[in-house]
Formats: sequence, C-alpha cells, structure tokens
Amino acid sequence: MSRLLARFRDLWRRRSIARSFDAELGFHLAELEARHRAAGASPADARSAALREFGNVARAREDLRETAGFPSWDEMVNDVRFAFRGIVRRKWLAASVILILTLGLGAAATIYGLVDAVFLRPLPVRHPGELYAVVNSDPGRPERLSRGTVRRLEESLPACSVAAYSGGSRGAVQVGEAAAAWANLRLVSGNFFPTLELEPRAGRLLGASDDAPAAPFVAVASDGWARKTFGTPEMAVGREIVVNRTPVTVAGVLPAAFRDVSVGQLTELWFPAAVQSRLHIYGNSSESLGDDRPNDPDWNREERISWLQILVRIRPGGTSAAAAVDRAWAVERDDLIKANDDTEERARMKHRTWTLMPAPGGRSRLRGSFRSTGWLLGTVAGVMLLLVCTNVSGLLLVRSMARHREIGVRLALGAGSVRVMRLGFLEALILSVLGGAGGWLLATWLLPAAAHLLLPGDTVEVALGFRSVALMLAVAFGCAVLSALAPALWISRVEPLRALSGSRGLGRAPVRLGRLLVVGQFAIAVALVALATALGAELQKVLAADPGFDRENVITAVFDPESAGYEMKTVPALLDRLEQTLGTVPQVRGVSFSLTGILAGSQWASGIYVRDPHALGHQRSIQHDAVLPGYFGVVGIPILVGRDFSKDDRAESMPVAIVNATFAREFFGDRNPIGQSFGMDAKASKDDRMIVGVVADSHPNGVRAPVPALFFAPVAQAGDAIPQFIAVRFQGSIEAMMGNLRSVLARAEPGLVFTNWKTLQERMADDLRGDLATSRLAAIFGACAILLAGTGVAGSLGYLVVLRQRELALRIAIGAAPGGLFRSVVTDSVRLGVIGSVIGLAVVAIAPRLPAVQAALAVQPGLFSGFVAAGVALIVAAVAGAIPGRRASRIDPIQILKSD
Amino acid sequence: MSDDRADVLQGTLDLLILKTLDVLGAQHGFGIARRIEQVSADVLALNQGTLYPALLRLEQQGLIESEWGTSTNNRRARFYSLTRRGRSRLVEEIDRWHRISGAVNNIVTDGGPANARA
Repeated sequence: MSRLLARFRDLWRRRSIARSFDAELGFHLAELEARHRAAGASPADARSAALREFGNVARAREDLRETAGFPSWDEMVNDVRFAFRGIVRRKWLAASVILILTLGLGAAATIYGLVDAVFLRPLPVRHPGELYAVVNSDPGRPERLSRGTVRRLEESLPACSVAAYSGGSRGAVQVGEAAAAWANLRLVSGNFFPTLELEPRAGRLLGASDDAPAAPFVAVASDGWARKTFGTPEMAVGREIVVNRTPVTVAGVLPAAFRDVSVGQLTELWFPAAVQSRLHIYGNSSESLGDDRPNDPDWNREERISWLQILVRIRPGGTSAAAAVDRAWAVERDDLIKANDDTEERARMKHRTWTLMPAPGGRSRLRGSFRSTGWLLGTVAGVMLLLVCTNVSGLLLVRSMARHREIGVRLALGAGSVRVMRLGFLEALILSVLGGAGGWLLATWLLPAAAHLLLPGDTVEVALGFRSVALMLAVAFGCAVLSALAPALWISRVEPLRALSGSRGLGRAPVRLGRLLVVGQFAIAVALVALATALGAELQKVLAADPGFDRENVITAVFDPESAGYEMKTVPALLDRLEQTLGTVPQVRGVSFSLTGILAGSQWASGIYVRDPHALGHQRSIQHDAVLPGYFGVVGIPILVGRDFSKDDRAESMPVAIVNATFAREFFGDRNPIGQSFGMDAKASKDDRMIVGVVADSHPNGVRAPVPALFFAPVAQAGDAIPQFIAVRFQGSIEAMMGNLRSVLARAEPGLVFTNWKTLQERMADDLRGDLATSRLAAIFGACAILLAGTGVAGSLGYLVVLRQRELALRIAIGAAPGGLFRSVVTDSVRLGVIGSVIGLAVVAIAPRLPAVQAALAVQPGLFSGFVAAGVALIVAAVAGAIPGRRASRIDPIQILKSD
Repeated sequence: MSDDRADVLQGTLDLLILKTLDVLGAQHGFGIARRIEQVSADVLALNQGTLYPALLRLEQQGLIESEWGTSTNNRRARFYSLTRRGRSRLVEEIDRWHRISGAVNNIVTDGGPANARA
C-alpha cells in the first residue's frame, strides 16, 4: 500500500527524479572515468570504457521512469491529450454531440431529482432507517389511531419510540397588530420530537410536559415561517402569537431541513396534541358515533375518534413492535365495535391486525399519486437516453470512418487496435463528461420548474445532491461505453492496408439500422408533437368555452369563520357586516357567500328522495350547496325559470330549493320542475324542500368534469352550514380593488383569514394545471425527439455519404454538379422524414381507438395536429440533411480518386 | 572484462544492495557498485545502470533512504543508507537466500540427499 502511495508521489516528482538521476549518473561516470584514467587510459578511452561499464544509459533511464510512475499512465495522458486535440479539431461535431448529451442527461437528472425528492430521500432526522410506519390488514382503512391507543403503545415500548402526529390542518394566526393569516398546523404527541431525535434550530422543541391537559399554550415553528414572520429563528423564540383567537407562545424553531413528516406537505406550526379542543384544531379523523353515549369533544379523551398517525422508532437490538400495536389497539377496537351496528364491519374490525413497515422517509400520500407519473417519466428518460446514445454513436461512427486513413496509418505503424479503440472511447468519454456537466447545469435550472409543474403547491424540496452527481457520472460513463461500441466494432475490422487504400469495410448494415432508427424517431416525434398540439388546442377550447358563470368580473376566496373562533350564531351578522364593509370599496358591485362555491376544491352531497311519482328518478345522491340570496347574480349564473332566494326564506319558513338545468332534466324531463318537492327521508315530511327556481348549468367541480345535477338551499335553511366561499363582483382595475379589499377586510375583521383570492378565470386555469403540465411535457419531449431525430438523420446520412464517397467523387469527376449531389442527399433525408411522419400519423390515427390509450389520455390527437407535427418533422429532416449534403457536394474528386 | 564473469542473478540485486549498505553505512551508487564487484572478487558483473532503478524501488518500499552529500574526492553525490525496516528486511532476505542457495547446492552437489537415496 505504502509502495503504491510512494509510486503516486514519485509520479508527480518524476521530473526531479530524472534530474537527480542525471546528477547521479554524472558522478558515477566521472568516478569510473577517473579510475580508468588512473589506470593509464587516454581521456577518450577512459570515457568510452566508463560508458561501457555502466551499460545502457537510455535503458536505465527508461527503467527508472517506469519505476517512478505507471507506464500505462503516460500512454493514457498522451491519449487524453490526443483525444482533446481531435475534439477541438472538429468542434461543430463535438458541440452537437455535447448538446445532445446535455439534453438527454439533463432530462434524466431532472427526472431523477423529482423521483429522489418524492420517493428516495429519508427524513432529515437522526438514523431515519430506524423508523417504521404501522399499516393494518384492511386495505383502504386509514392508519389512524386514537389517543388512548398511542398512550398504551407508549407504555409498552421503550421510552421515546412512538412519534404520533395528527393530519395537517389550518388555523388563523395573528402576529402583533397585523391581520390574521392562515398557517399549516399539526398536533403532535409529547414524544414526537424526542422520538425523531430532532435538535431545535433555536429555543426548544416540544416535550412530554407540554402535552398535558393544563399545560400553557406553546408552539414550535418551522424555520421558514419563523423567518417570514419574525426575520430570524432566534427572534421568534418567546414571542406571543394568536392562534384561532387564543394566545400561544413560540417555544422554539425547527431546523430548516425539516419541513414535515410527510413529503409534499409543509407544516408551519406544531402544537402539543393536548391543546386540540382548546385551540379548535380539527384535522382529518375517523369518528364513530354510538347510540350508547355521546363522544367526548376533546379528541384526546375519546377512543372512538382515530386521528393520530404514528412512526415507531426501533433502536438497534429492539424487537418488532407489531404485537404491541395490536395489544394497544384492542381497547380502541372493542369500543369501536360497541359503537358500530354494521355486523360485517364489526367482523372485519375484529380480525384487523397491524404490521410495521420501514418508513425512513415517513409516510406520504403524494407518493401514491405521483407513482404513475414517476414511472412514466422514468420510462421517457430511459428511452431518451437510449436514443441519445444511438445518435451519438452514429455521429461518432461517421467521425471514426472519416478518419479511416489516419486510423489505418496508426494500425500500420504498430498501434494495437485496443489502443486505437481506447482512443475512440476516450473521446466519447470526454464528450460524455462535458455533456454530463452541461446536463447537470441544465437540470439545476430545470428541476425547480419541473417540480413546480408536476408536484403540488411547491411543498417538495427538490435538490441535486451528491448522489445525483454520482449518478450523472455513471450515466455519462455508460453513454460513453455505449456510444463508443459501434466505432470500436468498426475499428476492430479495419485492415490497415485496405484502409490506407481507401476501403472502409463494415458495409451497409449500420446504414439500414441507422435509417430504421431515424424513421422510428421521426414517428415518435410526430406522435408526441401531435399529442402536444392536440392537448394545447383542446385546453384552449375548454378555456374558451362558457363555464356557466361569469369568469371575468368575479373574484373569489375561501375563509373559515369557525376556526377563526366565530360562534355559530354570530355568523349571519358577520356575513352582513362583510357585505356592507366590502360595499364601500368603489369597484365592488356585489358580494355574496356560499358553502362550497365554485372550483374551490370542496363538495357536499346527500341522498335525496323526489316525491313526484312521475319523476324519471326517485332516489339518488345529489351534490348541493347553500347560498345567500343574490349569489347567482354575483357569480353570473342566470336564473332560467322561477325566482331567486330572498330574505323571506328563513329557517322557520317553508324549506325551498333552486335546482340546476341538469337536475331538472334528469328528474323531470321536459316538465316544469317548479313546485315539485324532495326530501332527505324516505317518506314525505315537513322538512321537504319545494323547488322555486331553475338556474343554468355550470361547472362547480372541475372545468372538464361533467356538469352534475345540483340543488341549492338558502343558507338560513341549511342547518348548521357555515359559508366558506366569498364571491365579489367588481368592475374596473383588479389591482386597485384588491389593495382596497385587503385593507378594508383586515381593518374590519382582523381575526378572519381570506385565502386564495382568485378570479373565476384563474380558478379555471388552476383546475387545468395538470393538463397544462401534461401538454407542456409532451411538447418538450416532442421537441427533444424531433431534435434527436434531426441529429440521427445527420449522423446516418453522414455515414452514407462517407460510404459513397468514391461513387460521389466519380460522379463529380464525370461532370455531375455538386448542387445535384446536395439535392440528392437532402431528398434522401426528407424521404426518411416522410416515412417517419406517415408512421407517426398512422399511430396518431390508430392509437386513440385503443381502450388503454383512451383511458390514459384526456384528449385524442386529431389528424390536423398530426399534419402540423409532420410538417415540422419534414423541415427538421431537410435542415438536418443539409449538413451531410454539404459534405457530399464538397467532395474533391482528385483527393478521393487519388487513393486508388 | 573476462567472459567468465557471471551476471547478477535475477532477484538478488536487492539483497546485495541492502547487505552492502549494511556493511559500509551510507554509500553512493558508484560505491555500492564498486563494493559488490570487489567483494565478489570481480566474479559478479554488475550492469551498473540497473542499480539506480533498484535503488529507487527500495526507497519506495521504505527500506533505504537517501540524501545528497560530498564524496571523498569532493564531488556532490547521493548517499543511500539503510532504514530500520531495511535492516529487518535484510535479515529476512539473508535467511531466505541461505535456504534457497542451500537447496540449490544440495541439488547440484554430489552427496546431496538426492544422490544419497540412489
């Protein structure tokens, strides 16, 4: 080992070793000479005798060199130098190879970055490999547990090995005098942070003493929230904030790397689970209601409310905790069974068991929804890399062949064919590494954009770490090996003598293969571009179509009076106040409220019974909404028949409803629905609603979703429903109005948070975001495929031109015009483009008829978009063919024919 | 130079250098060559050029070290000397040489174990 190190050291001081040897040699020879002189020889004789005695000086020097370093290293350095010179000499070709590699490797790195962020990266906590999630044996049942189960589990396992956390929820947070803002919250058990072994960025994290029924209100903030709100994490510690109208002290700040336990979410404030009911925090839960007793309003004391997910840490030497989870759950299970009257469900619960699953990255719903996209992207990246390699290989092959004479000379002079091949590989490697570096740069720029496009809400932190660099190098190396294969194969067949005389060997097999490849690439490109244009055109059409509401002049937002601490009975007065306050903003023309609203992401549905014996349907689950009088006017949904709600539709007056046109058609056909009634119970009752009006259809759930049958009730007659959607009709500049709107609201109701201010037009664009992303991705990949096809054409036709050099030279020599040769090559290229386009068009025409494709695609590319794509492909083919065409037209017949 | 001088056997040059340095102390390349030829009474013909790569190799192995100094006739020369590791290696090498040369001796000499059996 030390020997190797010494060799490496000597490698770098080889010059000084050579110098010192020369000095030693001088001394040695002088001493020998002096001895011969002393024996009586003449100076000249003494000198030659000394040299004779010493032996071969050159040999000694060479041996020394070899001992000092690594002989093959020298060769390698020379080869690298030579390869660099070769690359610089043909810089255009090198540039195009690097460009292709940059594109391919950049796309691969970007996709890897996304996959890494979603699937591979562990939680930023100590020893994430020790963390396990619990899963139960009933598929589809949520993995939530009651507080009691968590407590029992904590008692049966070693200290600090259960981290329990609630589902994410939101709360109104007020800091100082500023208006309240919404923040993402989570409730956690006292052992949560100690189990994850997280260290605070500032202050302290929550512990067991904070998670007690009478403990003072404290919270831990995320680094980002602390910076946004207080400037630095340190300044947040000890500050008082108001959460859902209750004062809370910020105890500490988490490290910046820790965003949440679940990829795709960002939690800004963390509270002890014990404050759940006192801070009015209601996240996701599964609640069972029994007839025997009411549920405790504090979730911490109720076995029938399952609301905590857990991560279990099993430290080295610990045993699996699955049995302990089963035991701890038994009490919760028995209580749930008591509350449930469905015998089937009770039997299922009885047999439910729990197992542990390694979860170094925590649990995330995003993973499930992103899986298919991930696979798709991975496949695309793989195909792209393969195409990149084949194209680069083609280009390098042409390049090697163009150098056949030089290679012949090298082989004839005794260079081993391995060394000549190695040179080709080195060139490919250098190009690949450069391409890899370019790709990495491209990816650092592309990754945030891709994450923004494909992952929801910018909550996933994407970054290209050390692993991506390593992967990039590995892929670049793989590309180099693959790309150098064909040229190496060719070199292995070169016979020096024949090469020197101008023959090129290998024949037409690679030409056929190359042409097939080019045609395939054109076909893929045409299909992709057709898909992209079709998606784009369809999106334009959807966006242009009438959604049934006024999208231009209505701005909307969501709010939540309940979590902001408003009592149920004060809400009507609050809405009146809001309406009046907003009326003072000059641009505002009308204000109204509804429960779920339009494109705001929430729905509400109930089973109804239509009383009319002649109705087309009698019992169905129907979506509904509760609105204030005047709502339809504000959002621009026209009333077709009957009347709007009025102030006279009060809780104690006759229940009424307004239905949409689809509802009327589906239940009553052509008959007039006004005066018909329906109710929630199987038999007619005094709570039945009478239909007083019909409104036009609109798309409340999604622009692309079919219009649902829908009924509206007045808020006053909708039980304890609290409106959470505000619509403001305005006229004039939206910017000016938004400024006024915000300041007026902050002054009037500082504790109430309005988020997501958007015009209905913006809500439509948001709704189509996924489709926009698909369309843009298809366009990007289509463009890449066309570009690759272009380089493929240039490469494979280039090969053909080199192969036909002699024939072309002969034709020029006997009078063919160079322009004619140029045209013939370009025509050949366009022909490939035409064949590829036809195949691509056939795919476009046939694929949408396959059921699998229909299911996967929202749109079916029409032939028109296919023709657009084919046109683009032909232009690319012509341009790409011009490069080898130029080469063909510039052939110098004398040069070529001379070699015969 | 007479023809009956033998080339230094493959693999024994390192041993000769180490032993010479052990006896003479610090010595330059020329001195080592002279000493080997003298002690062997000119039986061994050393290709003196091979000495220097061997010296570098031994130095890389950490068996000898070198420093520049002045020779007896006042010329600059590089002096090599044994390190501690070189000394213990020399003991091993001598032991090995004795075993090998003894074995070779037994084979080529009459009265060796091979002949005794016949």
